[in-house]
Amino acid sequence: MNLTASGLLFFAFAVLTLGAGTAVALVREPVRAALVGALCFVGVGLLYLWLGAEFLGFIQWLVYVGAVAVLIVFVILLTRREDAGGETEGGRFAGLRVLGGLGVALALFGALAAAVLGSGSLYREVPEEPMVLEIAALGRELVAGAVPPLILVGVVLTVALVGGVTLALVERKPDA
Amino acid sequence: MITLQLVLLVSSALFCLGLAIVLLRRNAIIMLIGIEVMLAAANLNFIAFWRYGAEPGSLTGVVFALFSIAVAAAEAAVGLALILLVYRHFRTIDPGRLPVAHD
Amino acid sequence: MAVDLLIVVGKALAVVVVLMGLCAYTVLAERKVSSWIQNRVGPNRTTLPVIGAIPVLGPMLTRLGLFQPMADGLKFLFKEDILPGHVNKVYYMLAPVIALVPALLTVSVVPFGQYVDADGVTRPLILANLDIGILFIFAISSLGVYAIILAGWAANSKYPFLGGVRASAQMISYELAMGLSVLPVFLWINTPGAPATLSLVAVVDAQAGAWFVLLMPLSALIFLISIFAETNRAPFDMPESESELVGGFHTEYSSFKFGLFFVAEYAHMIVGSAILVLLFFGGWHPLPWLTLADLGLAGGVLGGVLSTLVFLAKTLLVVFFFIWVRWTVPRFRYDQVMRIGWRMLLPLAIANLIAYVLFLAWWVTR
Repeated sequence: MNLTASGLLFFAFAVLTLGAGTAVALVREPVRAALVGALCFVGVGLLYLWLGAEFLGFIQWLVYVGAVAVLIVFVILLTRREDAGGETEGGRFAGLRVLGGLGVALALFGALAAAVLGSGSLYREVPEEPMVLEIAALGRELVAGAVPPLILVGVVLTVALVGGVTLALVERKPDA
Repeated sequence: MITLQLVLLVSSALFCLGLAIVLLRRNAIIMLIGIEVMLAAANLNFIAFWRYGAEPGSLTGVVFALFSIAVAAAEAAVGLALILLVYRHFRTIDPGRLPVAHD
Repeated sequence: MAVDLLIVVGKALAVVVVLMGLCAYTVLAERKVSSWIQNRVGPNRTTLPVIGAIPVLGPMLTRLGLFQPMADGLKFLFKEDILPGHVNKVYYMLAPVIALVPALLTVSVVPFGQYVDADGVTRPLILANLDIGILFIFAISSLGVYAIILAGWAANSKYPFLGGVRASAQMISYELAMGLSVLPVFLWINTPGAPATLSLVAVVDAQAGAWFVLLMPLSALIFLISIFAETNRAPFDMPESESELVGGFHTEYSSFKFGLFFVAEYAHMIVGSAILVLLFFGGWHPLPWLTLADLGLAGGVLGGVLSTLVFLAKTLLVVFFFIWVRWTVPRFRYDQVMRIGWRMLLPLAIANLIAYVLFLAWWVTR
């Protein structure tokens, strides 16, 4: 297996993404965990870019890193309290819970990896010529085949916007 | 060189990381990050199949990933609003500490 | 290969150097304009040994304050760099870098002129002519919030923290209105039959007739207001409002690190102005309904220089507007900022988008 620059880039992005993801699971302090989470999303965006889906890569950054992760950090800062700084570690079954969680995750990874490695039809190399996602084609695809889902997504986003604002709205007391 | 298998392995690992985050952390917000990581891993699969797919012209994978990102954004917005609401009521975002409704 | 790479690096360096120079002189402009508005004189003492001694020219340049940016820059470099004991060091150091990087990255897809080469092909002057330029700009500039959140959180003290929280809420709120206000422009240039693109060059080309500010004034207004909020400029400078929060998110920063924040703010402002000019004010077209090609001036080096100059002049005019507003309009209260964003701009932007969708649908099927 000979590594080219492009292959090295893929490994770098993958290591960044997975490393940041591992850090989210391990870092105790919520703000730091959320920040490495943002880094993980940046890495996923880089992987999209590497695969040639420029449009989706930047959408990923715009939505996940620029909006979702910022919101997450923001909510963490809002819900920060001096006394409730860390997470509740103890509990009677803390050790059991960690072991169980790790076990389930590892078992699932084992199953997925076995499935991926087991199917020979997946052993496909990257097409030689770089593939570029054309937004014109994407637009046509959306308008031609996906109009009902498109409208539905619009409705979902609008409902989420209104719902989110309504939920987060603070009832202001008259004297406050 | 990089094969489809390798990309799928990375996305599987990412998905399991997301699952591990949800299972290991006791902070509702961090658990939400875990869910988003799992969604991102699924999207990575879709885009990998678009890139390595039998039909290069077909954009179904990309379209699906696009919808998935949109829905994930909506989910995050509502989820975080709910977490804020829970925090205002109970002063904690640890799901384990929330009072449970008994029958 | 190596020569090509060298040329690309050289171009990128040139653009960054020009942007940095513009930042330095925008700071000077801010000081001069504010002093004129407040009936003061402004910086008029700093001078250089040799140039300042030239009989008439030297004193004139000195009075204009043209050497002041050098003194300001040196001051940032040589003042004591304080690292407070109570900060999260890594994140604290990272924040100013993250502030500057998005501003410099977005410049790479901003076209600043065009020329017609010997073969009669029109070529834009741009570092990277991305097909999805506007998306790139939105994606990268949305990362700028992290600088402020990181600075506010890592400083581990109350005023920066409040500044950081305010900034993140404000920037997320106005990003929505900003994105929605730009959509009509791209709907307009992507009507059926046109080559589908999100590139900024195409936007400028489409404005060879009427500028988009004439066709969609409401979009331009919403976009302008949103840039004010996104760049944290007065009257939206809640994150650093000095009368409430000392200095906001950069309270704990000194010397060079503060300088990076400072430069980043001005770089964001200049890039924001440039994008406003590209989207709504005709880019490098000198007047509405009048392009350089109409005047026969679009060819060769002359065309490139002229279009760049027109574009720069317009951008600097918008920058002047930014400065003018800052020293004229008082700062909003924080609840007012949120109300303007969510209850006025966002519904307006949505209504505006729907109106243009309906109009264009009628226009196309007419």
